[in-house]
Amino acid sequence: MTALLEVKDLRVSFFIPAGEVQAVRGISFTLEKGESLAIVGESGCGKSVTAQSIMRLLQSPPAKIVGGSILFQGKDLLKLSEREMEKVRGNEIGMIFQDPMTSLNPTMKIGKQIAEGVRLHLKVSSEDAKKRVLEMENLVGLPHPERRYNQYPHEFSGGMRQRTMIAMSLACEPKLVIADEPTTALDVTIQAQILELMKDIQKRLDTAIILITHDLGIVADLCHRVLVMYAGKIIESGSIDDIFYNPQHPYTWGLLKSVPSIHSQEKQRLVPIPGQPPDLIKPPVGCAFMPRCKYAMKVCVEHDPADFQINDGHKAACWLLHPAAAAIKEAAELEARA
Amino acid sequence: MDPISNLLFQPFSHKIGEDEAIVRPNTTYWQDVWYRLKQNKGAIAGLVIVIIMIVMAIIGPYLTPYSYDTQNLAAEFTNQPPSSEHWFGTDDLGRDLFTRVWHGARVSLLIGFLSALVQFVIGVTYGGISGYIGGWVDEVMMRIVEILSGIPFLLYVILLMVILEPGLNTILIALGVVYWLSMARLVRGQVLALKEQEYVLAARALGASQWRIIFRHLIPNCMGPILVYSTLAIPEAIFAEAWLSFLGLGVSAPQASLGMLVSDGIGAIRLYPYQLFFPAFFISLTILAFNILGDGLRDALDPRLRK
Amino acid sequence: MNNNEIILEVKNLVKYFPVAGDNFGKSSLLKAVDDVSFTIKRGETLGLVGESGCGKTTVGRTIIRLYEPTSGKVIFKGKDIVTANPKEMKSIRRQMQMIFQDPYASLNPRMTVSDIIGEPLDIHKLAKGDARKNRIHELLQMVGLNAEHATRYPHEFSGGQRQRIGIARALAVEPEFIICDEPISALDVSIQAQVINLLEELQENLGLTYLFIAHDLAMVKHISTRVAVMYLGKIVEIAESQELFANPQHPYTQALLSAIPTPDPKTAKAHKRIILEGDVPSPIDPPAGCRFHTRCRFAKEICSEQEPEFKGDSRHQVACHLV
Repeated sequence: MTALLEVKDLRVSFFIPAGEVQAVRGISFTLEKGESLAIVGESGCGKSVTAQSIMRLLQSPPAKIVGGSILFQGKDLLKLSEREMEKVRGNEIGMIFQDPMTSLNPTMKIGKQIAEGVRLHLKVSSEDAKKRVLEMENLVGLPHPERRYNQYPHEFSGGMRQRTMIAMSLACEPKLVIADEPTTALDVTIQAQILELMKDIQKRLDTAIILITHDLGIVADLCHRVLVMYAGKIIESGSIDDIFYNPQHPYTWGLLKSVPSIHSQEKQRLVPIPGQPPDLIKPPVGCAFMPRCKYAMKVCVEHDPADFQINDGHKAACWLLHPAAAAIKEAAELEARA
Repeated sequence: MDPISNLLFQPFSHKIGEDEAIVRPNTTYWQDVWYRLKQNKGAIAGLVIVIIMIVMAIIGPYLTPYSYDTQNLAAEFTNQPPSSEHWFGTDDLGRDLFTRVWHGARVSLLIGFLSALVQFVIGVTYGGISGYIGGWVDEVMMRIVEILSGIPFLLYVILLMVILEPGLNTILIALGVVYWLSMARLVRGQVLALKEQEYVLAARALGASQWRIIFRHLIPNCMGPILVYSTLAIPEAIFAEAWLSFLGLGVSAPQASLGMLVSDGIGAIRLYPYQLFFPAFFISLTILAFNILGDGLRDALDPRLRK
Repeated sequence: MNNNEIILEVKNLVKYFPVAGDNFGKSSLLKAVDDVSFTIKRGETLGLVGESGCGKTTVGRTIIRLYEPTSGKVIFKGKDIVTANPKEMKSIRRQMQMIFQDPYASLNPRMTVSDIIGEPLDIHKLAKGDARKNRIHELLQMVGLNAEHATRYPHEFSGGQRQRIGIARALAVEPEFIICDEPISALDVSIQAQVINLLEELQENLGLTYLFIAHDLAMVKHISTRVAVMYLGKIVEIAESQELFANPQHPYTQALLSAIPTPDPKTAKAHKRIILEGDVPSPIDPPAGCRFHTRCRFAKEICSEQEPEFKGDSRHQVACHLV
């Protein structure tokens, strides 16, 4: 059975006055039907660029997909014409953006905006479209759907707008929804509402979700699998149990340690990862994380780490996992995960 | 892939996270703008033409042995078509048109730049103060602007002509007095938008005086739109002076601006079309070049195009 | 240095903003801060948390008089600064400074780092020439940057570095009290930890007192001695840090803590979240009585009629009828 989405060695660069910024430097992953995958990482790691590449929403210039393939249900999306791609967007792949304030058209009524995708892709009558919209409004928990149909975005709160975005993304029952930091701009209590909603919808509609976020808390709650990205590459991938309870990459260790938990009893020590990510205009030759890594070895300086399989579905790109590094790794892991 | 030697799997001692160095070369805002401008072929063409016009305006009149007001009323010298002695021909008073056109260009460009300068100085200061201080000061200052903008331009000019003598200075005053109004509005709008920015709040929290905030923080950050506006003000002034000339309110003879020359040339259009062609061509070219350059600048300054 | 000295006392602070009228031209008031009182002791960190519209940023900016208070007192080192004249205010600005949220907007894009950090030195005439240059380098090093960064422009730095420049700028005048207005919200997680650690280090080395405004409860818990929770312009609960998180009494605080996603899958699955219904009401027309009653699952009749008073001791106070 082919996977729903298969990304193979994707490479994306931005060509700016100062040179070529290699934002995504060869990533590969698969997504099964109904699965929810988180892509985590910090700013500049390439996660948003990856999401936008799948939808081919990058502005070109200055961005350019310089290599790789994105197979959606067997079709390579990178080889489709713009017109063919338009049939995919909204219809087979939906997208939820970060900022609900600016992702909605302020001059169009809500009902019309949700209906837009339906009418475009499903070719139904305007009556049927309206019925569908009301169904969607109910699904996402917008109170008084009839009334909301005729309102404008500025009359909605942030939470309601995000629900509208979710309704829009699901209106045509896509197989895959890409959510790019969907709750970052929302208050914590509203975020909780939206997360519950997304969990509920996922159970009901069995849509595959790619969730782009930097918040590990959301990932733990919502997703099955995680990809950790750093400097344009996937440095670790696995199930959420793998990543949270058995992380293998020093960056993942660092991430988990630099996030304070409200449940801790005594004063924790926050251990930040020193330094900052490399500027991808001059990507390093060896491991991109090496300058910030306490456990770096000589091999890390010149050789980009290969992927090492830890167990079924869990792999990491780190030289510590090479058999020759076993002793060092044991000491490192003991210290880092203490 | 060659096998990697086991010897490399030894700890590598280095200063962790020392890499606060900046990799990219130092680029300022204006370097960015210049880079984007360079990519706009039209804008560069406009810039080149403007530079050529300025150079010719300076040296043009010296390229011929004639001066712009040397008359020669003998019949064989008046109304001559272009020839090797008079590259653009002569007018009805036997004056060399090549010299007159470049002299006219000088006058027109001078008018353009000077009125843009007056507009800049008065408009920026007025708009900056009004926008930053706000409250009733802003209300009063803007009401004044609105009242002044309601008065027709021509009325001003005629009034000024009555009070002062017609001539280059009067025109400059007239244009300066009117055009600063829109610049003031522009700057005020920019300042209103910027004054709630966090760096302005930070400056206030540090104890900065109002003047420091307006002139060190706000105005420099408005420079983009101000520059575009000024660049577009130049052709506007040249054009305004041109039609003032048409109405007989331009510079006085024997001084001439390009507009004046066009006005003179129209009278002779049937018999001596070259007298109209040259000044009309160059004034149109100048105005077009400034406009394209101004538009190009506006695009190059658009913050959304920045990474 | 007296360890129990109260450096800041805020008394019944009120800040209303006039809002443009609705369709019928009636203008109304946005009650951003509506009778807020608290004290901060020298050397401690008071955390101020709440969601958007609760007024916490307005509290910070009103204390430093970036906004003029509608009423109330702000007593800093024994003097009410609300009534201070411009000359006195300038001297107060040397003792009280602020760090801002947005690393991309809090630095003037047209000024070099040296200009930015040097500006307070110029305004208060603290150093000239070489002394000024040295002081700027000293400040850069204090925040973990180096001298060669002084000639660069803000856009060449990352968010975390810009935030550090903002901190250096605030430190230039050698303040005693710093209001941190969401200083880490716009930063990546691992960079947040760097900045927090820097702030803690500086507090220890320079004897600073902080008012730490944020919405990230976990970070607030980590850095604060005491924490105040705000909702719609009022403080609903204020307690020592550990105490508040171990024993939240106000229903809003409970919901807030419950809503935070934990980076731990097992806990996440077991956790039954308290989901608040509806959206945060607008501060233009806050509900009568207890402002939280419209979303409170325990609300009784009294809650919609009367505003609750603060109950409790110096360790923990709550404004709720049901406690």
